[in-house]
Amino acid sequence: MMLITILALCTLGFTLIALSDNRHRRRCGLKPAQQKPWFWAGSAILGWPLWLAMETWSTGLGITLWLGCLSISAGVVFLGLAMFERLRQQL
Amino acid sequence: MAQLHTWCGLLAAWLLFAVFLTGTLSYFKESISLWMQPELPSVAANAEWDNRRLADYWQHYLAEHASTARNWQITFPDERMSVSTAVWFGEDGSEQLVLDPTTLTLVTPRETRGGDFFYRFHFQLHHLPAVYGRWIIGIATMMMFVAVISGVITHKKILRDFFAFRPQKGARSWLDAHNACSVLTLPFQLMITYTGLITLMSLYMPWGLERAFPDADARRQAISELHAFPLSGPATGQPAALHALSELVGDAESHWQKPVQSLRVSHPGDAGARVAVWQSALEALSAHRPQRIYEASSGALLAEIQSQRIDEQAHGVMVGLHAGRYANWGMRWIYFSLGAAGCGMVATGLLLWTSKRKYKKGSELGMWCVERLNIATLAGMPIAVLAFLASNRLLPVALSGRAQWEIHFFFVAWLLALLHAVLRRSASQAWREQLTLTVILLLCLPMLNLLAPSYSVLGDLAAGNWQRVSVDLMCLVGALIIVWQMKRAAKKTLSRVPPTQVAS
Repeated sequence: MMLITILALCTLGFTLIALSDNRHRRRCGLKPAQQKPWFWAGSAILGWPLWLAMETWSTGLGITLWLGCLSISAGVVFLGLAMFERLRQQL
Repeated sequence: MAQLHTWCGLLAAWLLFAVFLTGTLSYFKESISLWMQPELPSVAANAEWDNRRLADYWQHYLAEHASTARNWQITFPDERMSVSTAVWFGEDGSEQLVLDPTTLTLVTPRETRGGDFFYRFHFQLHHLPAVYGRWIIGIATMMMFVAVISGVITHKKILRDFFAFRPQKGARSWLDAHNACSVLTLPFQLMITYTGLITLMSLYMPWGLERAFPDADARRQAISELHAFPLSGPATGQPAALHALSELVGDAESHWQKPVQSLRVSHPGDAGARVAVWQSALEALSAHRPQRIYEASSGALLAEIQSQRIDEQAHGVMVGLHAGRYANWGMRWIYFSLGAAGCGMVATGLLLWTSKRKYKKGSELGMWCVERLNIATLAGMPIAVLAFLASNRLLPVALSGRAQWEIHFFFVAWLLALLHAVLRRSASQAWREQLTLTVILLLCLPMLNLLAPSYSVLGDLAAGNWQRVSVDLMCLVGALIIVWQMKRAAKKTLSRVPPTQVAS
C-alpha cells in the first residue's frame, strides 16, 4: 500500500513539473506566471515520498525504492502526456 | 562523444538486448520455474509452515538416503518459492528433491532449468565455458556503461526535453523514445550496469587480489570473506551424530526474529561437520545475509557472520541492488518495469540508428546487416524465449534430458529467426511475420498452461497464488501491446501509400 502511495505522490510531483514546462504549459492553457510555482511545488512533492520510504523501510532501502518509484512515475507521466496529446489531436 | 555513444551502443546492442531481456525475466525466475513445473503444488499465499518441522523432515530423509554426500543444502519456502528443496552433492554429482511444506509430501516435478536458465544466460551465456561467457558479457557491460555516460554528456537538452515526445516524425520520434527510456530510468540503468560489473569484479580485475594474496588458498579465503560465504573445513574421518537441525533453525530464528532462508550441512555424519544457517534475504538490501555457523555434532554456535567491514558491506549492497533479492513482489515489479525500459532503451537506440541512415547512400551493406540483426534480436529473441516456454509443455514429461531439449528449442528458434530475417527480401515483411509469430506464441502459452494435466488455474486462483497466473497474464498483455503497435504501424504505412496505389 505504501509503495502505491509513493508511486502516486511521485506521479503527482512529475505531473506538476511537466506542466511547468513551456511545451506542456501552453497545451494546458496555463499562464507563464504559474510556471515557477508549479515547478517548485512538483519538486517539493517529489521529496515527500523519500521521507515516507525512509520511515517505512530502512534508509538504504528507502532511497533505493524512492529512486525506482521516481523512474516509474516519470515514465507514467511521459506516457500519459503522449496519450493525452494523441487524444487532443483526435478530438 | 556522440560517435563514442553511437558505436559503443551499436556494437554491443544486440548482446545487451539479450542480456537485458533475460536479466529482466530473472527478477521473476522463481515464478517462471513454478510455471514450468505445473506438478508443484499451489500453496496458498497465506499458508503457514514451520521451518523447524521441515528441517526435521529433511534431516531424517537425507540421513537415510544421502548419508555419504559431501554436503546437504536445504532451502525453506518463502514469498518467492512456495516449496522447500534439498540438494545434496555426492560421488555421482548432485541430486535435488522438492517438498510440499504444508503436507510434507515429496513432489517430483518435470525436469527443466526453468527461470534459472535466463538467470545464468544473462551473465554467462550458454554453450560457452562460463569464464568466456562472463568475459564477453563484461566487455559488453563496460561498453554499455560508456554508452550511458557518453549519452548523458551528448544529450544537450536533458532537462528541457525531459517529457518531450514528438510522434510521427521518423528518426525524431525514435530519438524521443530512446531518450525517454534512458533518461527517465537513468538511475536504474547506471546502477544495473555498474553493479553488474562489480558483481564479477574479481574475475575482470584479479590483479589487486593476486598481488595482495599470492597464495591461492589465501585468495580463496579472501574471496569467500568478500562474498560472506564461509568455506567448509576438511572432514576429520571420525563419525559423529548430527545434532537436531530443527533446534538450530529454531535458535537462529529466535535470535534474528526473522525466518531462516536456507542451511548447509558440510560433511554430514563426520565429527568435523558444520551447519551454516542463512537469514531470509527479504527487505535487507545487502546480498550478504547474516549467517550463523554451528558445530554439527554438538549444536554449539561457532560464529555469527555479518558483514562488518565497509568493503564487505559495499560489495553486499551492490550485489543486492543488482539481484534485487531483497525485493518483495511490489518492488520486483518496479525492477521488472525498469528492466523492460532498459530493453526499450537498447531497442529504440538500434531502431534510431537504422531510421537515421535508411535513405543515406553508400552504406547499404552495413545498413542491411544492422537491419537484419535488429529483426533477429528484437523480434527473434522474444520468439526464442517463448519457444523455450512452449517446449516445456510440448515435450513429453518423461523424455530423458528434457531440460537440455528445452534449451535446444531456445537456440534453434533464435537461429531460425536469424535465418528468416536474412532470407526475407523485405525487412518490413520480416518484422511483420516475426512479430505475428510472437503474438501467436504469447496467446498459445496460457492455453498450453490450461491444458497441463497436473495443474489447475482455478486452484491457483482459489489459493490466492498469483505467481503462475501472472506469467499467463503477462503473455496476454504482451500480445495486446504488440497487436496494438502493429496495427498503428500498419495504419501509418497505409497513410503513406499514394491513393492510386491503394485503389489498385
